[in-house]
Amino acid sequence: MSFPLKTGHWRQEGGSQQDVAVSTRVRLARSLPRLPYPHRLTPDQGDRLWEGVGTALNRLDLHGPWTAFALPELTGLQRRLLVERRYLDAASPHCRGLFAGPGEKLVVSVGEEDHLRLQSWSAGLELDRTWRAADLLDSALDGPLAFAADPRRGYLNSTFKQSGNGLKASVLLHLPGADQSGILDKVFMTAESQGLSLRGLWADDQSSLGHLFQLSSPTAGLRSETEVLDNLVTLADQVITLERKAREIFALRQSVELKDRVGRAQGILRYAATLGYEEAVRLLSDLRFGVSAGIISDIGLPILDACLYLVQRGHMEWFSGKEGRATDEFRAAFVKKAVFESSGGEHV
Amino acid sequence: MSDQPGTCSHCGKQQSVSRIEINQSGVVQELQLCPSCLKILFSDMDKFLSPAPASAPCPACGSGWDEIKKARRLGCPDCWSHFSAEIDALRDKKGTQPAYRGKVPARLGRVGAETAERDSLRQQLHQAVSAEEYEKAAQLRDRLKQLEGQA
Repeated sequence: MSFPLKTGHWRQEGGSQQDVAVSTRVRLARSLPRLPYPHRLTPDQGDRLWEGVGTALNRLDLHGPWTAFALPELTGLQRRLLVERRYLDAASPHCRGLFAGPGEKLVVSVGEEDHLRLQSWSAGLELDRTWRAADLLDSALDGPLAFAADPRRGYLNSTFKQSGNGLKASVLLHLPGADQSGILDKVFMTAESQGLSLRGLWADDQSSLGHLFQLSSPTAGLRSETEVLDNLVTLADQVITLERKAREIFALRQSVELKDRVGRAQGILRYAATLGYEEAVRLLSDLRFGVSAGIISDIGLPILDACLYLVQRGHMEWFSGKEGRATDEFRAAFVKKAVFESSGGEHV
Repeated sequence: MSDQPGTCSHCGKQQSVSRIEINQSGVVQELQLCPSCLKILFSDMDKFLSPAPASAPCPACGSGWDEIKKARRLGCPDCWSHFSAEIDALRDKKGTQPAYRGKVPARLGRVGAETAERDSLRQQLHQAVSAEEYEKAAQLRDRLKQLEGQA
């Protein structure tokens, strides 16, 4: 089995407002008629679902070729890679696996909470483009699969919460300015008042390692996709403006401190012999701030964004070839090579 | 609602002054109420609703309604039509639900994104007029006309 970790990945395509927006994801939950939902599927029905989705995907004119990652055939480490990439939920006991399109721009997971989860990914803030890709795949797949739907209720998924439009859209934001100036509370409140949520990417609460936060639309519902996405993009734009202002103030009032922090991050990432995971994320985040503030010009944002998730344990074990034994020493060497010694992000 | 003679069907004591029909997912219930019970009706409707009859399990997957209600998870897509009345009753408890405005597959008719946008515009137009925001209302009306022209 091959595990594509190469060029052509969505993280390298670039997107708008990347100084603050790291990535955009649009997810559509869909189900097949006349088949129990995943928690009630027999193994045979599960096999049929998996094969049916694979056949339907591979017969589409667009989007392919698809790489299948059938969970029963994967090692624990390979599964972990998919979770670290956020293509799979770690806690989905019935999941059969996923299909990834070229560059992992489109990913279809099978048998999580619903029969299918169509995911579309882009770098930066690209809700429109990301939604259109998901919408197109959804309409194309509806031909062979005829998703369970009703004009009055929308898409009929396994829970009330996931039904209706089945849509969840989110934007990953890097907010070192807002986070450190204490104005993030205001953003949390604004998001909540509009039915959106802002969560730390790793911590799942209001603090986040590396100042990475995920701004998400409500889960599914009866509203039109346009309304949901417009609402999300409006708030994302507001948060981005706020973050830029906070960064400007920070750079103006604490210019020496900022340069010092960015310089130290660069120094440690370039010369350290060992690097723990949390330390790596913190330093990469500082470096990202430095790049978008114009203090550093010879490092691109895509490679830093790639490193931010590649430094996770599973990926380090995968790259080192030592399952269960990836070391801080390997992480230090990996980041040094990826950020300072290569021109692009070949490991994405 | 119209005046009717007789005793209140809820307390059985006082003279009823109104006749009310409650249509609970197709099951019509008639009430004759006195003024004090009428007041209770408007503040706590649940007291007047008869419990819905227990449905048979879903013929496709065998899931029962109690199980679904407890887990908030259906057994299969057929559960949606089999327990349609129960689902509506559950939703109605949360208050009036707006109509679905999202995408549906093209094969189910052209109730796609454009229709949804038109519905949303109509709603916004109504709100703008109510709030006397006439400039905004004019913009919304123009956009609506444009969309309707395309249809």
